[in-house]
Amino acid sequence: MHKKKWYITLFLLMVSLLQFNCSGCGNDNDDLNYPGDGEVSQQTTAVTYDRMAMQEVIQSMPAPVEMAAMVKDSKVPFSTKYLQNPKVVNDFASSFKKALGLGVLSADLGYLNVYGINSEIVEYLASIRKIAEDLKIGQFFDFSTLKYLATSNDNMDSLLIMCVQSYQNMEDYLSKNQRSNLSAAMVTGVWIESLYLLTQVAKERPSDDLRDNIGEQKFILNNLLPILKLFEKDDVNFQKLVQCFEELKDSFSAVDITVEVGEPETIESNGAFVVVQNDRSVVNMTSEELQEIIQTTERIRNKLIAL
Amino acid sequence: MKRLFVILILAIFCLSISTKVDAQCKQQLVYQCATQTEKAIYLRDFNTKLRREKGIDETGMKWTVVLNKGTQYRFSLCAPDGYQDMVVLTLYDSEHPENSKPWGCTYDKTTKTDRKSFDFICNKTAMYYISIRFKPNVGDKKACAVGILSFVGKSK
Repeated sequence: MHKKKWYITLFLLMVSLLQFNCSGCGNDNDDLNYPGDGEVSQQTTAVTYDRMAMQEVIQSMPAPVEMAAMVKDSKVPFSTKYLQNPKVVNDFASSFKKALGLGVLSADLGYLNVYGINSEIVEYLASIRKIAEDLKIGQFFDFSTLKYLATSNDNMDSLLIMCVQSYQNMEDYLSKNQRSNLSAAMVTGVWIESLYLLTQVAKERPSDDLRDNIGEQKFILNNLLPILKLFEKDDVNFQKLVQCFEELKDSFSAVDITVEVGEPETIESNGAFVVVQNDRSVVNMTSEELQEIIQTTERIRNKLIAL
Repeated sequence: MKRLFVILILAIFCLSISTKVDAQCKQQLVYQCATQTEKAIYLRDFNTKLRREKGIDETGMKWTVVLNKGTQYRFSLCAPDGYQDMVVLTLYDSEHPENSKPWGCTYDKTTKTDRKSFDFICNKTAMYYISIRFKPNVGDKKACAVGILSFVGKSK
């Protein structure tokens, strides 16, 4: 009888161990539930907000190399003047500032990666490593391998892929481990630095493409701002960040975007199957309004680093 | 005592098996897939485990992504050997639903053919969805797949 009890206990222990293991792997059904699918909202910080909706916005933010790729594709030559000094890392005291700075420097690293400027990359890698270690996410940033790739000229593609993946893994880890505030600060850093790059290039080399790209960032700002507001009650840094972004929102308020609907078509181009979206958004913005966005972005980007 | 030892070994074995079968694709496959995009610049990857469960038709996972106006993107799909023709990557949004008229897909339902990738010329900055799933009524119980989003260039 005693033996039987012992085996039952052991069996239950095994079952619970297996269940624990499965929950660690993630639940497929969770992956498939999104806001609007009838899922019950969860508490995040002090505010009731759907955790999935917040993760959806953070996850959707453009990669740290995307704006740089756009700029390079427009034949704009490389310039270090668009970059933040990597030594700024020594001034970051709070976790908030470190996370924001991690985003800013990751966007700059993306710019260097896209242009293949090896000589500057190692210094940025070192600064990012320092912040990552301070934030206890250094395990996702393999500095030795990245440094090796940066110093051997043949591996620029591998370096870019690994840098972006490291960024993704750090952001993902923060987001899934009750540190969504830092994850939000990180993506904000990437976005403001990317917007700064676009606006600075547009200031020197105005073009319709860049003007449209800048105007359409209103969409991202309108999605990101409510996420930042979730954290302002608990953190004075987020209060200041929200104030800055409200200023930016004012600058974007005059931008009017309309959409002309069209049917998509498919074509073959250079052996690739291409889907052309014939919906077309039209950005209406005067030169003065663009100038205001450029100036506000510059002021806010510099202020955030000095917060 | 001997029985206790055997049961513990069995438990550890079960744990290791369940971890392996539920895992995402290995980094080697992600890297291989990311470097197959020719001259396009890697932006991010979508790595998922796939599990078909009894009574549930929907498998896989979906992600959100903001795509920018005036940009040509490439979506590529890779899976381990033997699974390539079982999985499908779909790009869609609320007005172009996944199952009726998505923006793009790696599987052509009309011709019943697979393509490793497709390009999308985006003319409207907005939030889009990307899903990776088993094809309906196809596929093993468990697998993995990885999708790659890359930047081809500004659309001319």
